[in-house]
Amino acid sequence: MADFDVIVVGAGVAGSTAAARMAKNGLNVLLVDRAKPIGSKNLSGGVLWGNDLDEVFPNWQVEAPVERPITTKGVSFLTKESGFTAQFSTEGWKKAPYNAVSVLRARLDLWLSEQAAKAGVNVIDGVNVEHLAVEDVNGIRTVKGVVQAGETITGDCVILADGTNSRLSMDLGIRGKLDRRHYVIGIKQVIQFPSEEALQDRFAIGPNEGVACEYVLGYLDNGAKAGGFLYTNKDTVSLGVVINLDSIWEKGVYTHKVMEAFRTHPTIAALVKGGEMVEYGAHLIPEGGLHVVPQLYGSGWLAVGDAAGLVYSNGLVIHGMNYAARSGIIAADACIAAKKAGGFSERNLSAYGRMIEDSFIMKDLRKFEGLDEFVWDDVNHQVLPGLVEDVFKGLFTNNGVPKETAQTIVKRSLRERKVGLGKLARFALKARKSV
Amino acid sequence: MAELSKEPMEIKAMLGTTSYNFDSHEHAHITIDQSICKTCPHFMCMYGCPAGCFSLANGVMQFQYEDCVECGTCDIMCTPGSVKWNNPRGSFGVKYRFG
Repeated sequence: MADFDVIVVGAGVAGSTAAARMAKNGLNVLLVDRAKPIGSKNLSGGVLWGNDLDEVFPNWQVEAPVERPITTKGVSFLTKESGFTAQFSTEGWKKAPYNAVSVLRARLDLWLSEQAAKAGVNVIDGVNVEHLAVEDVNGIRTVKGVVQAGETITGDCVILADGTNSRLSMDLGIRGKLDRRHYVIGIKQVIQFPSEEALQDRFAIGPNEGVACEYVLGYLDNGAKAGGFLYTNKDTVSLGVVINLDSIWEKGVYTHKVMEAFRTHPTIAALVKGGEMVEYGAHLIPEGGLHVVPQLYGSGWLAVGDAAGLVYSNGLVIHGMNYAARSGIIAADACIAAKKAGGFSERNLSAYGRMIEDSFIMKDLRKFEGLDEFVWDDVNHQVLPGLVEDVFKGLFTNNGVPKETAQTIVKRSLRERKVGLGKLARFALKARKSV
Repeated sequence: MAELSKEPMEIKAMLGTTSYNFDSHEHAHITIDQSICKTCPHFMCMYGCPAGCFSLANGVMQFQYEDCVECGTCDIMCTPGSVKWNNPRGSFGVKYRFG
């Protein structure tokens, strides 16, 4: 008999959600994570969309250590000296259950693992699982447990929840070397404000309100493509960039300098003025949609969350944690059903694949297939920000020159930027499909 | 804590804000093979690494594991196969307080 029904490797959003749900349904579960304390290896931009976690952790938006509900969403184009920002806010986002909350993962993930422990999960921190124990059972490669320092802990099923840079997926052979076209690097600084009130005054928000803004950085050297983000926490701000690795290939661009090119932009510098940096970190994001989703299950194993590449990004928003929560819930349900049906064979676990297909996760990824091409299109990064700058400068700069219509300005700006109708038409087609 | 300067900050100054539990050298979780690096046409590890762990000294690639934030970018960027990437031993390595 195995030591556990299910071993979950990785106590992030997906892993802890899956583990807690299984334990609540009577399964004998081990949750193991390499961090001590749990959460201290985990990092994300910081907005958790939706309320999927509520199915496993009721009232989590109130009880968990979350930062602020996102009540204002902004989109901004930055050029070297200018910034254009559009902000949207609505009263509905101020009411619970919140549409989105900002989070800091070291805090949130520790809490989630504590809830899993309360639900009966055996939680081990500070242990790095080095390999999967794989055996040939009647000609089928079957995962039988996990190996650490030469010792095997046996489980009838192993859930791979070891994150974006999933070494266990590579160990199992379902994923090869990661591809720079499909992964982006997120770099983030946490910036401390003197107080919650000081932060609220800066962003013109109330005590239980928050801002999430994404930026297109149209001023980077050597054709580097990156997006920026700013999310308000309680008394800190998460400020970061997401850099397309393919765009810096052989261009001599340092990723940490892109981060600083964003922080020191006049628009951003004004927003974080007086703050102090209290943490710097980075994290790969599997942004390639269906390109990065591997085989999701097999005999004795399932993959969830970032380890399964389940992330949606359209440039204006990145959804990862809610997909992690949903895939964790579905994985738990598949394991509960498999245990009832007599075992964790590939056939019994195939329900996981079907339920993922039927969920918003795969529906979103299929509907918006090819989205990454739109997100990183040259027009988004090297044309639109400058075009917006030209229009606003042209309309509102008073310099004694006769006024022009916006249409004339747009035509001239496109001509100067050597953007032909063909390029614009191709971009418009991609945009129509993607947004 | 680091005061925000008006000018771009050096990577070392930014990393000074991040916490770690350093493991000893014989347990470095990432290693490089300098003989392979010698054949590398691009040194993209150095540009990609958000923690500035890779640097050239007299044309020879140097790597120091202590500042690593375990993101995996170098493993993606290293096409010649010099980087050998593993997680640090349990509880060692970067230790985010915010994340």
